[in-house]
Amino acid sequence: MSSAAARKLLESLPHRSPFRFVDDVHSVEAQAATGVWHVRGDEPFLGGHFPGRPIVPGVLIAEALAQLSGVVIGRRNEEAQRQSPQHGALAMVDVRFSIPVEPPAAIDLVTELERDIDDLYLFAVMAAVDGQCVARGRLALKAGLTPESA
Amino acid sequence: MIEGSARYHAAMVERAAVFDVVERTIHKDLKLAGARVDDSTRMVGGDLELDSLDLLMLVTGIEKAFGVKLPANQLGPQTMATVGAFVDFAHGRIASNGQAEGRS
Repeated sequence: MSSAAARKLLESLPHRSPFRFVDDVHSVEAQAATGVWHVRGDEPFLGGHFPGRPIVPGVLIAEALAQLSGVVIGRRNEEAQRQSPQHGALAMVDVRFSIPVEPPAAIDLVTELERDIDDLYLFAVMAAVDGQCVARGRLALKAGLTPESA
Repeated sequence: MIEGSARYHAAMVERAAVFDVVERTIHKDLKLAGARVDDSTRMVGGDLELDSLDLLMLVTGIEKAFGVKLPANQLGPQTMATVGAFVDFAHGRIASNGQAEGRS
């Protein structure tokens, strides 16, 4: 898939700044995707998390992984997306954070679809900085929900 | 692959091994530690009251452990009503998968 097509899939997600945590999608397949979140260091949430020692909140890394997983769902349902865009809602997160991420950082994101049944999608996810794993686990998305109903 | 999967030789899998994976998944992955799990335990609509996500994780647990695919169109009230029904179904799929491997 071309980078332009990957970008289009990313744009099909309902998330927008300041709650978009995937800056670029490197690859998207029916079963997996990779991407990156560039944390600059001047994001407002870092002022409070924590004063004097900014650390990227783990829940936002999990959110970034969920957003990238949503891109995989979009890839699998491309035809349906064209007819009527559908967006997944987070149904479950089970992610461990092994190393605190201090800005600035390029957080590499990886997601792999383990299984889907009906509208539920279970992903294995991983985030890394400079090649070192900072978060790993699983999350589930329930597709078909609009932002209004999620 | 992000996570590796422990695979058994399908033809040698005993029903008890399948039950163990189901029980472990319920206690650990579904975070129902301490829940009574036996063949008569109802998974849906009583006892465990599992939802669709729980059932998806159960299916994934079996598939990863034994390297078998459980067809989505065969997952339903008959195969997932009780722990025993699900273990029987999964064990049957694993066994038939092993026979297919043996023939190939």
